[in-house]
Amino acid sequence: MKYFLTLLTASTLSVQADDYVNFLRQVQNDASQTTHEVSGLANKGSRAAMAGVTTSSVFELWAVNTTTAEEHLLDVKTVSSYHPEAELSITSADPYTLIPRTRADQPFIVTYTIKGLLDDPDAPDAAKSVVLDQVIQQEGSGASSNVQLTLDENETKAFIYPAMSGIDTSSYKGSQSFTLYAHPDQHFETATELATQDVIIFPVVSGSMTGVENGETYASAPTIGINITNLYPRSDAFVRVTSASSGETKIVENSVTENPHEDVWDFTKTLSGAAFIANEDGDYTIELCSNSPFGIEVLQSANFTIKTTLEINGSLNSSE
Amino acid sequence: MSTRLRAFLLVAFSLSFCPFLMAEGDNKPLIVKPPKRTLIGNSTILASGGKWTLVPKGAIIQLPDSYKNKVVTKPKGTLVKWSQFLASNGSWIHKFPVQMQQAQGKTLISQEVIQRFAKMNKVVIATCADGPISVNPKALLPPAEPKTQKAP
Repeated sequence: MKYFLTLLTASTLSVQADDYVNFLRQVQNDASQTTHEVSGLANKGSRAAMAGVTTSSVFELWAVNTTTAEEHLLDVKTVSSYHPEAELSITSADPYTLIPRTRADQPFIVTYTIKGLLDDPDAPDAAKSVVLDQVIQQEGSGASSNVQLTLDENETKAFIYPAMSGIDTSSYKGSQSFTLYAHPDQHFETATELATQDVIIFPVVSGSMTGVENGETYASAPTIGINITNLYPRSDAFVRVTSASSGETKIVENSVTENPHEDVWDFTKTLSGAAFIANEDGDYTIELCSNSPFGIEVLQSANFTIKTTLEINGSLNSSE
Repeated sequence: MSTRLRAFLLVAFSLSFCPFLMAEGDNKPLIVKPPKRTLIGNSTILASGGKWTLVPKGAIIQLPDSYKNKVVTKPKGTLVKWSQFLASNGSWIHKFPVQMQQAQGKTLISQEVIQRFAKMNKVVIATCADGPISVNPKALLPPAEPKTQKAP
């Protein structure tokens, strides 16, 4: 059987074109796994299958970083005359769509659609059910776990995965891979991949300030040191100060620092006293914050007082 | 709280009564999974002038000794798409369009053509619809000698 298809290549991609080259690989399910490639695909679009499909083909959509050569498998679709159709997607609060990603303390949702399963007891296994495979991989440790589940309904369904338990969310970094497989039939030893999607899990941001102590009084605005660990990709860290008397909150202008990377990022910064607050007497609250897709979070705070007039306790006596 | 975060939490809450997959599954494998996919691992890397690109393994059907240094094992420099790399390196790359039947080794590539490649002193890369394609080595073999039968 030979037919042509139009493949939606990257409808959900939002990649900076200069950073990645997209590749579409078509692997024919023949003896030599004949592989055809198209590179430099636009971030959105569709195209006809390059050489048609003989029996079955697997289409792989990849993005490769132009400088680091890091490769990301964005999507896999199997087109054949006998396998069911399957789609799989992962969403989180992070709108970044090149690769779904989230944080170790946040949930994500896995949605799948299965079509074309047969309710015929005489049908081959490959046509009666599929297997949803989940691989949990912790970066650096080499530790991984694998869960598989049989699905035998033609349906669209979503599962919410809550934040992982039993881990140190401030240091855990890893990924989870979800794949829908068709059972192998009589011609194959291994299962056939129908659809796959990964989600990257980053550790939770933490931060601290030096130079300001809770409850202390200063004669002038102190110099503050900022120390941020694991700032979420493309997120901001900033310092804000609230005056107790006026209730006014100001974001310290030169304190706003964006993580320019697609990975978590550590940095330190110093804010001189005059730079972040007027030297007015009063009580203040200073907060070190993170602004990410998961909202604004206070990483550390301190209350302090500025008192510029010097009080001297003492007396002057005359000996006359 | 951002609009995106609100929308996500709303969806997440509405799904909270769905069974959790991790609770349903067990550790007994139901299938034998194929090997993990890799793009670069299944490719040949061509590099020149600080730029590199990928072609499927098997797409290079002739590699003269003088250009073996253009095939590298680790990418270095900037990745560019195939058409851009070809445009910059046309002096030593020859693009050879093949049919799918040839790529699959079901029909042979003419030996005359293969001998012509040998005289070109260029890296010859098979393409289909302008994209590089792997070629079954069987397609490059000379045709089998016809079997002769002794007269009875």
